[in-house]
Amino acid sequence: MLIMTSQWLIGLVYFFAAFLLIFGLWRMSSPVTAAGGIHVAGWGMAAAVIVSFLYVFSVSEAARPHLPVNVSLALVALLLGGGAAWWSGRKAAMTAMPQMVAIYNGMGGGAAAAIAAMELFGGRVFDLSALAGTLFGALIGAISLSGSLIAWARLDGRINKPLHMKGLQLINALLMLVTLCGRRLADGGHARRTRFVERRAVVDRCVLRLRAVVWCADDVAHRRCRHAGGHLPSTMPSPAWRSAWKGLCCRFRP
Amino acid sequence: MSGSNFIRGIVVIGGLIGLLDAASVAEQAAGFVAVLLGAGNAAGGYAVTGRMLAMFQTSAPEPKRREAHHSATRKPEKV
Repeated sequence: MLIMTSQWLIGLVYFFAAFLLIFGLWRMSSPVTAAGGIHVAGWGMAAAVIVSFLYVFSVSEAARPHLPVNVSLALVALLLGGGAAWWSGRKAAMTAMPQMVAIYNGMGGGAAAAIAAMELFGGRVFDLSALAGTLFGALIGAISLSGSLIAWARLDGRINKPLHMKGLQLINALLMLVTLCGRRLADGGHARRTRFVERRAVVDRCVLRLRAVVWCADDVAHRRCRHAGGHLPSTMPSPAWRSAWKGLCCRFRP
Repeated sequence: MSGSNFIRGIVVIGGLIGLLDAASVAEQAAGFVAVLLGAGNAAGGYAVTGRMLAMFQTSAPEPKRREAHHSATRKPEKV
């Protein structure tokens, strides 16, 4: 009963948070309402983070003894990471904003890669399609992290020439091979597989839903920026679609 | 751009759910890093975007255009 209620509540608040995030992004795309938009999106994010702690009621049997440690780890990580980034974002000079955005972007990539690593460590990935998906996520996240770090270093004036190394491609190929082989060694047993089946579906649904929301929100932002005369590349396929979208934007302009 | 960057911080949710469900030290370590970085992305993106938009707001030429737009749409109603 408690599990049902908490999952129902999580779903409801995630839906509401998704709405707030999209609405916030939509407001951010117009200069008049932009400042309010980020606050709306911020409330959405805060609600989603807080309600995620309700997940403690539906963790798997294997994770139950570790629950107090996990919850305190999560709280410490949230406070530490959020606090440090908030402080640096507030303190940085206005001219240093591009590199700050670059490093925060890299942190997001690093988080995605760490999530993929967690999936692999936990033995939750055992069939080929899930493995391919997780590795792809890890790869994209890691590339995003390293690329953003280099972008940050170059914007900050720490690196003045393009980063190039002899045999870089060979190193990359070796790393990829190690990634693929290392997985075989870390294969979990049967108990872990059943646990995977139990929990994977819930996590997948939540993450996929949120990812879809982010895609939609990004798309909306791009199109609205385009409409406002921005220079973002258009994703609209034809002029007819574009004019229809413009009409829609005008009608619902906040 | 930094607004979309903030929205990307939603990965913190994935990290949180994974960390709460962690059953080994390796998972806990990876989850801790995920939540740490995800929270950094969200909080930093929020702070930077807020500052940028606050700067943006002082020189908003848009309100005039909006009023003009509104009066233009209102006219047909009067007729």
